[in-house]
Amino acid sequence: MNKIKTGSVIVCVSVILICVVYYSKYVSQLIYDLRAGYPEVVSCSARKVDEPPEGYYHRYYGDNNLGEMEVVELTWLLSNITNEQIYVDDFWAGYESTDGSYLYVMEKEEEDLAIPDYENKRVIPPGEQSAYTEYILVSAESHEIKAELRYWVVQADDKETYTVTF
Amino acid sequence: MRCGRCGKNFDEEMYCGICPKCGHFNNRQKEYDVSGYFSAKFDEGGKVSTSAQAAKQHEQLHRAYDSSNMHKPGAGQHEKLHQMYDSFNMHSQTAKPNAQAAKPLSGYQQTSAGRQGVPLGKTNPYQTSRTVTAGKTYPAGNSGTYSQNKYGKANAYGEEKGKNLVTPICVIIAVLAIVGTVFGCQLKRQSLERTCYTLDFEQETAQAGEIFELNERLLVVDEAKVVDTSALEGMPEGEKLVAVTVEILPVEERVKEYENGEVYVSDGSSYKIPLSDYTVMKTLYNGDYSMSDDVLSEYSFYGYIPTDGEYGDCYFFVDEDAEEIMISFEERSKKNGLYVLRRRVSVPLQLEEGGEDE
Repeated sequence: MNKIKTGSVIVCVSVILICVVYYSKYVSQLIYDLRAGYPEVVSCSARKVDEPPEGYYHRYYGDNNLGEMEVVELTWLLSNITNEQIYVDDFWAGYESTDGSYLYVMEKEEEDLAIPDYENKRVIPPGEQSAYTEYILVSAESHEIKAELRYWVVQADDKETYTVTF
Repeated sequence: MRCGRCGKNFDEEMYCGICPKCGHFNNRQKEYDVSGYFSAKFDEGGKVSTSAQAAKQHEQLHRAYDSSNMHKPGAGQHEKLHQMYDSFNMHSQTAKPNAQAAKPLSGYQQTSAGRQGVPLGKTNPYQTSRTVTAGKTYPAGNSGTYSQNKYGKANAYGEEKGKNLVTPICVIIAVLAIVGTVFGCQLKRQSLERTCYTLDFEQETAQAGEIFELNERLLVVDEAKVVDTSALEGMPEGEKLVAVTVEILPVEERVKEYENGEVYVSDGSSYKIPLSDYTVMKTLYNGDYSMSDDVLSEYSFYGYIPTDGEYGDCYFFVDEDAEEIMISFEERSKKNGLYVLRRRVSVPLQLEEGGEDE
């Protein structure tokens, strides 16, 4: 009988400790996720451009020879509806063509920059909006792409998909 | 009846279900009057002649007959037997000091109805010292410690045996802890999300040269100059460097409560935070860190800045076509583990050409 009682008390105390640890971990993760908030997408527009702006390149094609590919300038209008400052550069989207193939995003050249992008940060203050532009390589006959946003938050793997025509 | 332990056949009525060979109590869920059995065991033949023997026998009897129905509520048999056969030293191993208080009356002073069966020269403290509810409270005497004896099964004479309240209470507490944690997590999540997604702050505007308060410090934004970076390599494309001169006035006392804050400029299309003082030193001053007092970073506007004040420039990259910028300072306070925006002071500035590269 005493063993049962002792075992019960040990299990009970263990459950309480596990609950306390779980709660504290949950709250700290939640605060982390909320502080690393994601902006809300107000609008998304795209247009084809003749060539990417100065300083952009592609890992495979370089900055000149894009082959059969064309460049689409995609502009996100982002809004910060949280109390936290949001870094625009942390905004991430994946792009797919209508047939499901992955589309390449051009990157900024940072090797020669005295002040790299991570020092020259763009932010969206609480309650404000800001535009964010990306350059994507698409095939010449393409007129529509899909953009997928993912939000990694506690106990959820939400994603939003936008279809953008140009 | 056939004994369930040793297999001996015996008369169930005569022996009340107790095997005369092995002593096993063959319980058929029937309430037996076992007093006869114990009476025969103790009263006849002088089986209990010394206190030590009596105590030993008592323990043996407990081992043999402490079954589930002995201490169940209303089990009068058990209590009756204690009344009849408990002597002062029956539970001598567990006797407490307060047993002295229950020292029984000597001799046969206590002899009364119901004491039949108590051996000669023995006393029954159970009867003499018990003053409260029968079968419940035994404030004195060795028998008073019976509920704590080594058998661990009985609570008190006639009380419930083996009733384990600890386990169900522990189960209830554990379940409540789990349910409380689940609900607590949900409530905390709602509370934090409400805090995070509620924008309720004061928006103020100050002019260049005007003193305003921020994090309990007084600030003045003097001017904004464009820094000539034509001689520098590796500057961001399409942007120009701007130095905003800010003075943080001295105070007598340090800010008591730690406050957080942000500073940034807007050129009409985007918002930028200031360059770190390390980057400015490295880029503009060729790594001459003796000039670091002249450079302010975003940390310069937090609540823990020195009391003697600071005067210097914040450096930002803004759009190369911008002619006006707006520098904003945020004041935040901690709430629910988050730094909530409480107040924002913005200062519009006209960009002036700064001239030479520093």
